[in-house]
Amino acid sequence: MNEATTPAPPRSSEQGERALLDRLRQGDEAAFEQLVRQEGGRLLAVARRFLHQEEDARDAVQEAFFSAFRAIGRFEEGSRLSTWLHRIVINASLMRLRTRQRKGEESIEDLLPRFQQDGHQVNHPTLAWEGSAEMLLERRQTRALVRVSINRLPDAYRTVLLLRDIEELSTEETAQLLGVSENAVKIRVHRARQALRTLLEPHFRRDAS
Amino acid sequence: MTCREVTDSLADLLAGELPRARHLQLKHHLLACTSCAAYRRSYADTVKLEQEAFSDPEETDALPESLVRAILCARRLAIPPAGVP
Repeated sequence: MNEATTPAPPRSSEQGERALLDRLRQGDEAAFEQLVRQEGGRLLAVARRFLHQEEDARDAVQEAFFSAFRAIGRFEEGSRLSTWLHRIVINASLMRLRTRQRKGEESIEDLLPRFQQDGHQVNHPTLAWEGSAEMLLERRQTRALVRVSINRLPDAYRTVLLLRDIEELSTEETAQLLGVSENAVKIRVHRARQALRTLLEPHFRRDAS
Repeated sequence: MTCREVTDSLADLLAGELPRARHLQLKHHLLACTSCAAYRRSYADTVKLEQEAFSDPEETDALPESLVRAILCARRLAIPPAGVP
């Protein structure tokens, strides 16, 4: 991560993007370099969210650009290059993730609320957190704590959470990418949020400090 | 409406997809049950926290130069310029 980097140029306007697209379609070498420098950092950040190893994230970005270069002729007018690349790197990251077996995942069942037969919670009553999300975010360590907690979720749930809540894909898009039903996506994202809430609770509960 | 039903409805509530009658039932429950009210708030805060957890602009740095070179080199090798057999 200490490797020297060059600053990414500013994002292109719509007009600039059209000109860039024309050059890409003509096979202009400088245009490919511009695209990689312009969008690469953002795509690497996306891949890092899905993949636990830096090497895997870099490989996913490389694969994504390679897929994009090969498919540039089929890019649909009216779409945004950045949105198109975003979808491609997510796909590359998910494909790579499927080849990786994780060990030591939390059990999702242990992180979900439990209820009695009459529908009341088994555990003690839920206590309020000591501040709103906005207040908690003012603490320096909050973002890191949330990221670490998301990484503790089983991959099947972490992935859906990232796709829906962070990458802002629709339920339909998420279902298509994962090859599951839209209902399965809705159930998983809800359970993932509940599990994440359970992991964060000891840190933010009013009696925690 | 039970506490379990309230908890099961939170994703739909947050997405604004809860039918009106169900929404009213849920609101009545939340007024009477402090535990569910605290759960609802912390559930909504969890979603806000996760969305903000990756919003640090420092996270999106430029691509390492070696990776830029590797990507462009791989492209040149696999997809020769137009006119080259």
